[in-house]
Amino acid sequence: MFDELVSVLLNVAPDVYHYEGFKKAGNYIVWAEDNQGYSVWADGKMQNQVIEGTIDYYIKDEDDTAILRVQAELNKIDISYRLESVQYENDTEFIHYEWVWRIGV
Amino acid sequence: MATMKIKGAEELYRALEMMSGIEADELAKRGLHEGMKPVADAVRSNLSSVIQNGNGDLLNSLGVSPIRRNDKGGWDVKVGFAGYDGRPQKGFPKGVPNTLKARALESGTSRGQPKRPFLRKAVNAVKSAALNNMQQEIEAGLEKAFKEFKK
Repeated sequence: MFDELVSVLLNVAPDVYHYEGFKKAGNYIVWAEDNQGYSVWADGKMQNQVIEGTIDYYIKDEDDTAILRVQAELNKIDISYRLESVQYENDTEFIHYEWVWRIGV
Repeated sequence: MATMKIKGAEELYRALEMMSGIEADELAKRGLHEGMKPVADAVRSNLSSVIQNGNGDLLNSLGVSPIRRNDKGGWDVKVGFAGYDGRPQKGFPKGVPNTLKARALESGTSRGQPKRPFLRKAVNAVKSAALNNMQQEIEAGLEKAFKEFKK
């Protein structure tokens, strides 16, 4: 169901993990599906289910343009997203970009 | 060509005009209050299910802000975390801010905190109910204003 998503994330970073990945040395991505987004019901049943999840990209270089590549790759395969947060984790010195995505299934 | 007439729109418009600014503000605040309730309950419930030992302080720090006027002239209310965990450490003389702990839980960290999204899932689950509650409260207020006008 999420093969396309994983495939495009691998175009951005070689290290892509599902659900968990931490204490790494270089840039890496963690992705996960975590709940149902705004789905559509009609005639007493669900007509269109939307799955929502996140992509977390951990980088060390503040000038890393790979951030834009994540968004370009998601656009290429028509996955809707928003940039949820950008956090600097001072104990590991990673800059943590977090996107929320939605896919209709 | 088809035509459509909406009856009573002029009367409703006049009833709304009759509401003073204070009455309208109070109605808006009541609507926000009703909308906030399911959101706060859902966030609390989700947080309870994801926190582990030693994070009872985080649950206690969850609260609802006072309803305040925003810079666009509307009203805002927020559900969030206040204060510190009271355990001073390097970089945090008052303890780690509860907002930071909540963010680490929601988004995960590179250091080793697994991601446990609770806030976004809560909002997704109750958004319709919250909007419904707000609509019902505001419609009831408008209905009352309309009846006052018709007297």
